[in-house]
Amino acid sequence: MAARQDDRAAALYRDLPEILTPRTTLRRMRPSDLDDLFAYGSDPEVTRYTGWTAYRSIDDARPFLDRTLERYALGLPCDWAIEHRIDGCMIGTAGFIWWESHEFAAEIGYALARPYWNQGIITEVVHAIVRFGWHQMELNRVQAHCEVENLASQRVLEKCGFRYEGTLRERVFSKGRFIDLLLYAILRQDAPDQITEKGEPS
Amino acid sequence: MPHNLALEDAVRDLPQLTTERLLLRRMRLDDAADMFAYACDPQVTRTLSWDTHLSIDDSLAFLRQVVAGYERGEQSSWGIEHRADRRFIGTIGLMTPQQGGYVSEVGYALARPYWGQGLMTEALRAVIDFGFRHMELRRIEAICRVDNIGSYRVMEKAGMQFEGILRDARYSKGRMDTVRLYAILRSDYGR
Repeated sequence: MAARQDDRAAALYRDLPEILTPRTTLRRMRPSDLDDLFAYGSDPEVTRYTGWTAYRSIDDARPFLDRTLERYALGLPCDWAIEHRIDGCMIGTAGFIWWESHEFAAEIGYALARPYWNQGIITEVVHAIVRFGWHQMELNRVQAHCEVENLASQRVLEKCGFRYEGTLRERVFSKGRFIDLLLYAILRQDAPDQITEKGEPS
Repeated sequence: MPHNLALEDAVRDLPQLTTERLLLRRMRLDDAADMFAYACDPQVTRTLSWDTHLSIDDSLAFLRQVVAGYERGEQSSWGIEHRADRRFIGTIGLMTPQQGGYVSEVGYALARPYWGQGLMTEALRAVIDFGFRHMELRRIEAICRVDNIGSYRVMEKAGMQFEGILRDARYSKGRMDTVRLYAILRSDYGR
């Protein structure tokens, strides 16, 4: 059962579909995104709450891009590139960090370039990937972690219908310190309107 | 940065831990009869991730996996022996640490005749002490089904703090389980 589902998971991610949101296209990352990735990934404000430190040179951005392309090839849960349709550039990433298909659960993560903050863009992106989780991954639970001080991220999750479940003390070791994380989750039953919406996002 | 002791180093010579009434020691294949005596009990396995054992062969297969894990340095589960009764009455173990060796999860099972006597609390305290003293862990966490009062009372008595309720966070035996999450930090423990 689990093995069969994992095959299905691999097939889904090897051929990761594009998703359209009102203002963005979620698509596979590609080598030509490197400059855009560096542009926002070198901003310490963007990386304040991420697991990685701000890039100091374009070479620092390469490993993440390479790893993402490798995950597409292997069919592992991974990030979409967030492309701003009007501006025509990659402005961030969002996607699934892990997927336990036999437990019907997965976790999401995201990052966004600072010029695009406070416009509801990540909210529309998270909404779309959670809906992808219900329909394409047959999830029952989608969870996300964020740091206690990261109020913007908490607001995004709350606007998307996630509920706070607890504070996990010293749950990760990152950038030389132990960090408390807030855990949020949304269940399929919390989002009946997303389940009944037919087909792909418009 | 704290020194990080790899799991393999900690378990290659998994030490015996002695408490007032218990001996935590490596499991052996000749524990199969005692294991089957409780692992065949649906009341015991109801809230566990593994299925009720249907024959002693199931218990033997379980023990073979554990013993093979000891040999690979990947298994840090102890058998719980009741010192007065000289019986194998359950198991307790730490899972492979995450976050560079700082975070681990503990899980346990106990034969029903030994419930309600504080024995698992005694075992859990010993394992937490081992984890903070010898494995350089910073955080030990545990989950149990939200209705498993016996189990979360053990966690509370061993000094673990309630952190949250994770809805439908485990899928086991054909059903979604909502679980309570508990954790103890090295700083709670005073080390």
